[in-house]
Amino acid sequence: MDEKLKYLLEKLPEWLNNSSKEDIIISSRVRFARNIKGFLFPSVASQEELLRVYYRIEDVLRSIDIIEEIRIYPAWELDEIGSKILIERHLASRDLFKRKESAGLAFDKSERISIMINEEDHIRIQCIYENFKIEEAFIRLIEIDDEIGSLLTYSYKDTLGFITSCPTNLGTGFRASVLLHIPALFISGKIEEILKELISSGIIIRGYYGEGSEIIGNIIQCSTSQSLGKSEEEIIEDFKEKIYKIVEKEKKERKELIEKKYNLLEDKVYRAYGILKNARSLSAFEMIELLSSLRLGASLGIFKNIDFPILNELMIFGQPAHLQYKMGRILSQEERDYLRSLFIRKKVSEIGI
Amino acid sequence: MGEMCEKCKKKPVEIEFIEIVEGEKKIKKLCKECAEEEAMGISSSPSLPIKKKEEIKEENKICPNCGLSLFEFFKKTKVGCENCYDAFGEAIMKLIQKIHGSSFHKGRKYVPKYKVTKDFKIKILERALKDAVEKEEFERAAKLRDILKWLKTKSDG
Repeated sequence: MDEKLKYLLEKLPEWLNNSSKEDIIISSRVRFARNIKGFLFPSVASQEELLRVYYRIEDVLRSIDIIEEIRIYPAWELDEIGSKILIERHLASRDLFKRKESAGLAFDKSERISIMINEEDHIRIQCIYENFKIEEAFIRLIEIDDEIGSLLTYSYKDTLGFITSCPTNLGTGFRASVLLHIPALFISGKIEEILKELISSGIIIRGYYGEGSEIIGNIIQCSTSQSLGKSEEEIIEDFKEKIYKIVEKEKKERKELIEKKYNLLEDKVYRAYGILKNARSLSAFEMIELLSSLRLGASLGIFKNIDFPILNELMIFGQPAHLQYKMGRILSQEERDYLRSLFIRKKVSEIGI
Repeated sequence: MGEMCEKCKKKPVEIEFIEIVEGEKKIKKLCKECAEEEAMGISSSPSLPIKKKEEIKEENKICPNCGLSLFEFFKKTKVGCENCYDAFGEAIMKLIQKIHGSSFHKGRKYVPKYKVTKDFKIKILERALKDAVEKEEFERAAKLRDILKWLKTKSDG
């Protein structure tokens, strides 16, 4: 296992390391898809052509100074666990490593900015901020896009806008998304109806469904679907309006829980605490599910000593690749679940409630 | 014996991972181990509303620039180069219209060597400030005010 990403294990990405009491909108992400004029796109280009694209972009990234302590990694120099660490930290997508021989990744010290080279498009620039700081993220994104776009020539047409590999990204090449933590809507059962509404309003939803079709961890990812025919600002405004509506609904349900079902709520969050503190084997999904309850408890003031960065730390470092990287070797599922429970037990005992 | 995981094909399905685009569900059935690996990470692009093969009536076309055919595009859902959009003509334009409800770009215009203007930044950040004040996010509002003040005194460039 190579050591070059070891420094990542010493800290949290900045967007997860904030102690704001906002726990419904965990993070906001914006991204642009861009391609360089005159080169074939990654799905058909030869490896030689893609490597030319790769080095050209790498040169540009090394020459700009608006990204603090930028680090650039060719994908072919990363081993499997290293690649997975980057995926777990939301710096890279899984698809980036499908064409490993000609792809690469750059990101900054804060891990707010990441640039994927030769994923589905030549360039994917993304910016992640905590909570709903979507404008801050967008401003940062356009600053970087401008800088790169002035040093090389993007593929662009007046009618179709920025030209992308997939027609779903044409036009602005822009997509915004948020991670939402909405446990009260799940507890009350209103989630089904809300998801239906969201989907019909053009929002794309992702989440994990376990047995009985329940989403795991009460976390869903919502993203915009339209990129053509609307400006970036219009896309953001429209998205914000829809997301604020869900947030309001979640808040209303939380109030209801406190007023009418406090006992049930208290039981749920203390049980989660009990399991996290005592379990001797913990799968990643069970961990995520239980951390959601802890987060809810902390947010509603049932747990006074729990800060969100601690919960985020558990969530990030409890993931499979993070555990394995820390141990320095590939672990079996059983070993992982055992070591995860050990790590969580230790951390949760340190907090006290 | 139950259904096997789509990815490793070795262990039984325990988790369903779903993505919903335009009301259509795309479901991946995975074992616990593979599902853990998929994580709630970032995805590249949502799936396309592409018709089944028998429904495609268009004649096949080949892009002279990259050699990709229209049928290959329907299968891969990715074009090969910027010229494909011209080469596939109406067949792809119909799809674009269906996805976005539009076929004309309205966002930021690109000219090589483009630079974002100060006014644009101010406009976006003022909107954020209004939000922050409304939602009583005072720390964020203060930061935004500082940035705006700095931006407004700075010369454009």
